[in-house]
Amino acid sequence: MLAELGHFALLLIVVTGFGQAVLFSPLWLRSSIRATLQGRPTVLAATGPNGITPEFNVTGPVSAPLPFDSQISRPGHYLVLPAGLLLMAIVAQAALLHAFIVSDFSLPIVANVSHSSTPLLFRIGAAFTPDGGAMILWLLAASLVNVVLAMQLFGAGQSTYGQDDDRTLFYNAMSVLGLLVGVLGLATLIDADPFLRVAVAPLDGRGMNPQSQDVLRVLREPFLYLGLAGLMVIYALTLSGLLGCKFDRRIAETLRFWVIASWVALGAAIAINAYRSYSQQAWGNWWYWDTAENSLLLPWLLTTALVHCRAVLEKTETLKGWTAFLGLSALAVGWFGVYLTRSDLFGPLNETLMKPNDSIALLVGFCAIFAGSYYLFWRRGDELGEPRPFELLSRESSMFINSVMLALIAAVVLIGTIYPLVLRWLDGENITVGGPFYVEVLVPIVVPLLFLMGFAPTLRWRQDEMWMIGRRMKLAAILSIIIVLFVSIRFIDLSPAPLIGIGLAGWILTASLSDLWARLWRQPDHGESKYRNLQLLGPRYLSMTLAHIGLAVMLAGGAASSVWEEQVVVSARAGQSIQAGPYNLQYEGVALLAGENYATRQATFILYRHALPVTELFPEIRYYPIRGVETREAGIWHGRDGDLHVSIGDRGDDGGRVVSVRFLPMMPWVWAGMILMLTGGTISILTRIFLRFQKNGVSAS
Amino acid sequence: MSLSRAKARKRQRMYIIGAALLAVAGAAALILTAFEDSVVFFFSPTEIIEKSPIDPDQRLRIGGLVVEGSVQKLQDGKTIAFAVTDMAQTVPISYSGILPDLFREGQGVVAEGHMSSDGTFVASEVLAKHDENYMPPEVAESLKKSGYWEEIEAKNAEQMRN
Repeated sequence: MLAELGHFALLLIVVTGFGQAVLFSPLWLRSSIRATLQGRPTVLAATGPNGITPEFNVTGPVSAPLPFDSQISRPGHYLVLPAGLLLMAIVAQAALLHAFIVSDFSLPIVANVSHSSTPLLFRIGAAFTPDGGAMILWLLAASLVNVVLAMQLFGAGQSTYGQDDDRTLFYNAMSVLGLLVGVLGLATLIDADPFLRVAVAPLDGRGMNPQSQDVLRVLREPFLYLGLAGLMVIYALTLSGLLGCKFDRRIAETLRFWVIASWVALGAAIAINAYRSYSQQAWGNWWYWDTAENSLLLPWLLTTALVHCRAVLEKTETLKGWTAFLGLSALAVGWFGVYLTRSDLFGPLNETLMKPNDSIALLVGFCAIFAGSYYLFWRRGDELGEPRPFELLSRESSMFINSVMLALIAAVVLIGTIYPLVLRWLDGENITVGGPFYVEVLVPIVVPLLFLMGFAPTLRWRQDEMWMIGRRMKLAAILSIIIVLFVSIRFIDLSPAPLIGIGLAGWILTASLSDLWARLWRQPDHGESKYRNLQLLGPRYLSMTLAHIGLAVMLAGGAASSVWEEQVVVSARAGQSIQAGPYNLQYEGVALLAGENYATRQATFILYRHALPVTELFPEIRYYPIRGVETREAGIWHGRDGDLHVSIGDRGDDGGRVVSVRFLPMMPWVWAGMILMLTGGTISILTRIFLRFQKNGVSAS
Repeated sequence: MSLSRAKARKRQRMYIIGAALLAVAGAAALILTAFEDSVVFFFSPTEIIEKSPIDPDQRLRIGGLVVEGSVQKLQDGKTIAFAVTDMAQTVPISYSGILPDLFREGQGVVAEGHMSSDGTFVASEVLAKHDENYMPPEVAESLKKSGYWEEIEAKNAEQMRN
């Protein structure tokens, strides 16, 4: 029964989503309908049905808010529809989770990806993996951000950039967001309705895909869909700014939380995905350039560009058109990425064409929404207002160049992802676009980008001078040259590519630190302590520096681990010791153990470093009888100077077991760098929330 | 004043458009050259035999079914030799390392590497990132080309039932 309730809730989500789109919309209809709904006699202002024209801004604020502004001051009115949506989404998600938890196999979605022997945590996790379940999760995330956005827009704290027509802008944004939720809900119902039942339930399910049975894999999904939901808010606010022909500070300020939150959520999904690939022996690397990873990377790249452009927009009100374009495109590539991974476009050609229902509604919705919004952007792009001039050598232009490069990288990744598809459709040739392609194309774009990243934060707004940049960057330049010289002398036969990587990492790191140093100690402190300078820097600057340092650390780790990686593959017998880097592994043999729903052959290795025991590692081969599939988990030790990655294979005819040991120097830097970047973003959000509440408290008292 | 502002704006717009065009053109050139030399083509065993000898420097992918009974470990204990077939032609492959999770005799596999001069395909990577009912799409297509698809499909269905 609960599944039917969930189905009903899903239907209601669609209705409520479109309802929100209509009721919050600036069309003339709103004022009359809402007035009727609220049962108050109102004077209808004469606003024609030409609602979405620029002139509306003149009449709109006068007509629309009049009937309710008195009521909106009463809290809660604006929250009715979003809260209803959230409630509905929670019901739908709970119904689906319930079906998975009690293993209700009369739902095909449960029977396909779950089994009665699957552990509880993974029965819950399995709910997010099939198409329908993922869509429900996306809807839940979208309704959640919908409520948060409503509270942010109509809640207490007034923006410093508030203007008369705020309400119109905000209603537009809520309306667009409602429309998106409605379209997504509809696509779920058409493509992959998770709540359909079959008359005869199978006795048991087909089991979860063993390669998804992993805590990290399960954790990735909520982050991914929260990130995408954040992009939906960015899209809604951008579109609402375009509709009102006003894309200014106020929007930029509202966007701030959402841009950084999406950036953090998508980044977390990428980091989790990378670590998951790394700890699965069969994959073994942390980045593969496959479709699923690229479709995570694309929106993240554009969000990164947006993080920078948004700051420019808020500070100087320039780059309006470009920022709006990025705001629309971030959701576009995110949505398209979901479509790419959902649909079987990369499967055999004739099968793809024969399955007509394959996420087709998701694609149609995508085309309709983005064709409309890009058309609007094209028409309105020029009318966004007069940009302020800035020189070629200024913070604005460096941010612009940086975001163009990020967008170019995204374009390259997109082309690399869909090119094999296009080629296969055109002339039936099978090709693979893998690592070498991306490295060859992206290195010439990324190198100048990273170089720019070193000094861009120190540039002045509007106008800067070459000699002043030189003076500021002197220290960093000298230090990074010393680093490069040291590395190239110490490792004399090093090829240039990793040297460039390490040099750039050193450049970014030293530049960030020296800028921080200059701001803390060189600034006059006006008689107060230097601590005052730290306070004046503010969370924005600190989180930016942290994220930049994180990227530098990750870059250095990635470059070093790829060059100095040592791999040993041996056929080992019990008691044999294997040397890799500074470590020595002693193979103790394999035990057959029982996992919750799998049997595992677990090898034991004792890890020694310079003859001192460090730890034990347990790489495994797991066998999942339900699907008859083996998976391999690597044993990983994150040491001071690098990761030790050990995995086992089959037993050979000679009685030995194939053991693959890799020593990846500086690999922990990659993970530390990712964590630093995410921490930077999180600090930025948290301080923001904290300050907002603090400010509210102050203004209330 | 207003004239100079308009001028500055015009100049700024020119800068921006110029930079964007330059960047796009550069990226396009890069992409085209990279497509030419770093895209990896996929061949079925039949195509490999037809095209041989193949330049050992060219990276390529080969896919087919692992011939039953062909998998053996060589003397050094870590190199594995097997053969893939599309039922029409067979190509021997050697690979050092751990075979992926889903590697089975009689099942589809895709290997990336290069042809050595003695006609053996030296794989640097055997690919396995897929789900359990995987027939790599390229392998399925090459089997269809060689006309054995139905037979293999029927056999797999038989095995699933057992």
